[in-house]
Amino acid sequence: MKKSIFYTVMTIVLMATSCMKHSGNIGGPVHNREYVMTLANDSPFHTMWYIPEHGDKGCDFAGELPDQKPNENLLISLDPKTSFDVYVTNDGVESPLETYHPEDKVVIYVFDPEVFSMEDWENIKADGKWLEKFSLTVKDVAEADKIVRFKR
Amino acid sequence: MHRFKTIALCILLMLSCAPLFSKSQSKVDLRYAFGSTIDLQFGYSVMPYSVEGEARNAYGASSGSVFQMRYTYFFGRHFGAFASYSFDQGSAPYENYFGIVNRADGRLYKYEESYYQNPMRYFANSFFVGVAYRYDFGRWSLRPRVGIGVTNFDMSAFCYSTYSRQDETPVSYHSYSIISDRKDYMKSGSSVPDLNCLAGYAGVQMTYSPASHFFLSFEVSAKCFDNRKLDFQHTVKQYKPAYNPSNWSEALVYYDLRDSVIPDDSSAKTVSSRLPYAIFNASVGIGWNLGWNRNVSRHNHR
Repeated sequence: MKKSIFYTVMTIVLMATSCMKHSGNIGGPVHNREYVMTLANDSPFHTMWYIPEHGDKGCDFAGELPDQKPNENLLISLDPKTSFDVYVTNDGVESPLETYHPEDKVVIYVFDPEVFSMEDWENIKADGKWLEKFSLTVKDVAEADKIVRFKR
Repeated sequence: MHRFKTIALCILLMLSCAPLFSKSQSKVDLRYAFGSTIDLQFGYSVMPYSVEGEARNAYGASSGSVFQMRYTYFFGRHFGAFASYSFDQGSAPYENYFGIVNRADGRLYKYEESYYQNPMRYFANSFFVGVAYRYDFGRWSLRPRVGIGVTNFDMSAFCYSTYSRQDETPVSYHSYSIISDRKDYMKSGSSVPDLNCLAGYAGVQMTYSPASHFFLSFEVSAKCFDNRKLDFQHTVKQYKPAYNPSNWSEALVYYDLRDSVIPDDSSAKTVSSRLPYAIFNASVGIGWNLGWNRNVSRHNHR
């Protein structure tokens, strides 16, 4: 009887600790709407964030801005002192983050909305008219507590 | 170590009490030792086992305690019959067990227990009937016995992991399970670790009677049992990374698992072997000569 109680208690403890540690299905696909990271606009300005898709480009060039100006719907608009939690979905629509290989660096651009809207795309690219350009590995983001901060 | 101290203390206590009982007794043959006798014994239980490693077979022993109750009826001066119950239990301490495994593996790895169960933990409830012989000299009596009976044998499953000696990275996961296929309605491979099996017993008891009815005893004995219906399965799985992310998002979501490993089921290799099938005992105890004693009565009438 005592042995059975002991086994039961230990099983519950092991299961509980296992769930706490992994919080996901090991080896399976990312769950629907799995939290990835937070983009935080700690500046007093309105900002727009853009992550290029990897596509067929080589990994070293994946973070480069595309030839055509991206649709504004693809950018994340953040008011001053606000943040946006990035989730990845498993509904068949790939987010830019999902097109990068695990060891790649992901490039995140932060634009001034006015510059992004008004300026010629070629000029933006040529003159580097962005507020910030993050080039991050998974390790960088994880060690920053999964928060990417833009400060001014 | 504590077990040895307890047994030594018992022996010391009994020996120290012996003179008290013997003071009032004359040095005569053991008249009361004929007829019915019961005795209780407690002692040391040892179950030898072997480990088949990567380099060789190595041998060790689980150890624990045994408790035994026995009734013996001596028909005459020398021969009698007995019925007994005994309970053996024991296990191998982690360090001792992994010392044996280490020797069997050729000192290739480091080891870590994976669960809360000590390795080679065994339980054996045994019932025996058999014949007894006695040879008395003074207050001492030598009593060999042989018997046959049933043992309910039970062994616990256990598992452990091996690690590289150089950098202590996980190498493989080992699990031992005891499987029975004796029930056709149980799914194959389900663990039914206990078994009632035919068993044999042989032992020699030495008794010393400081009083007519009471005696002290020391016994060495062996039990063996036919537990071949239980399959002792040793499964080895190699470790693999807990998670192989296919993209950047997954790598970030499961970043905490980057150094984790899990047993790879596809690499599992299972080897069956024979369970340990013998237990050796060394016990001390006390006993009483009871009941009607036809030999003494006959003697008194002469």
